Amino acid sequence: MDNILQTLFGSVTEVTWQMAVMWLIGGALIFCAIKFDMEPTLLLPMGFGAILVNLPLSSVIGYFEVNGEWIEGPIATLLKAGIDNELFPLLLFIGIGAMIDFGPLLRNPKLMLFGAAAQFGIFFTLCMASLFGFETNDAASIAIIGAADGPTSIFVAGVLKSNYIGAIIVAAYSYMALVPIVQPPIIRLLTTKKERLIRMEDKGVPVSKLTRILFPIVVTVITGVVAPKSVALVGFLMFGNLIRECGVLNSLSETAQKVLANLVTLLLGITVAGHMQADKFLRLDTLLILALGLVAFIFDTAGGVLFAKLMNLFSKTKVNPMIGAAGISAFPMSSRVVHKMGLKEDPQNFLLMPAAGANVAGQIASVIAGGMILNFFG
Amino acid sequence: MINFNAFVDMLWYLLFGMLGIFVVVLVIIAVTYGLTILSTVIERKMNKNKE
Repeated sequence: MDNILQTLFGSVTEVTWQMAVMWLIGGALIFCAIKFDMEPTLLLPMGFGAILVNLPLSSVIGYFEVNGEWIEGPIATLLKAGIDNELFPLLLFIGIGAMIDFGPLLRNPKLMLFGAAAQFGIFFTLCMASLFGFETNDAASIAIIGAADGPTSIFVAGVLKSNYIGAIIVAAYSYMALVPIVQPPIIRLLTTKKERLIRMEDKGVPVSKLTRILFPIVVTVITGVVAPKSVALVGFLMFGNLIRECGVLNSLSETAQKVLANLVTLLLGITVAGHMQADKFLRLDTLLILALGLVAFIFDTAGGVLFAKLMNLFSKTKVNPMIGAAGISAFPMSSRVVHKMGLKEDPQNFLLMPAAGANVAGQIASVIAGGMILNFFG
Repeated sequence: MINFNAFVDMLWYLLFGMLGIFVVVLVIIAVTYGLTILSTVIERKMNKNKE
């Protein structure tokens, strides 16, 4: 009788308070995904996965015995197959590349400077994380939260073998979803009303098909030569974009944008939850990482805005400094935030196209920044 | 644990990291302008040939 009870309810005694806290965190992620529409495609699977991997004697993550044979849990298998070798984030990059229209950027390539400036938060957070005593590989992985790009964060943290990959991914995706809340106060703080009213004309120069086709190839070659460790990230992103722009692979482009991106996102969310086991996640450091992630986003935004203001000092044609804030890679939220802020100040000021240009520039620059971090510390 | 030395050490990476990104981006901008001009010239030539 005792044996039967032990078999049926033995795992109940294995429940710890840490597991219960992780269930609450998982529940909170699911709640935020459903109630506030915060990156639901990733936070919901991650929230459910966090519960799944924190059940006592969970057979999804560890090894379990069947007829005397030890079998690996499915999430552990997915971690090895898709995260440890960086396959999932790279596959997702093909989908993202196929979704991105570089048209607004190609019409005004100077916007790429804002993408570069808005990576300041990454390197500033690297300094801050080191100040708080994190090991170099962990500090660099925490800093990459400022890339405002989930797959890049997963890729870099994975390559650098960070001990905090779970917290880093949660922070990256949470702040990406919180861009409409995080960015506007910083932008308002750093700009005057007069600056926010500056109108920017869309040059409207048509971009030839040849340029659109050559651009992803050229960017891959340049970044590959200068920052070789970013070549996987840039290469897969630009491969997806080439499929989109070549004009002869429409069905593949649609598949990459929809089926591939959805499928990988589905698996990515639940797989990264494998790094959210209570013993790895419930540390004081996790709170510090969440705070540093916020620092990264704030300084990214500030970097972009201040660079735009600096450019205005030397340029005849003034740019609206809010465009600089769209240089972070959170696409397309950041450009929408800037566009809405512009409309709020002046209902006739349409900033969407230049903001979108800066935003896609941020996508490229964040990947280059990831490559720089890997070049330094990888 | 606060480590000011590590903070100062990392300032070099901040400097060189941002410098590196700007260098890459400036090269990409230059090449993009080059591509735009090149493709415009090619298209004009093709249009002339058609005419």
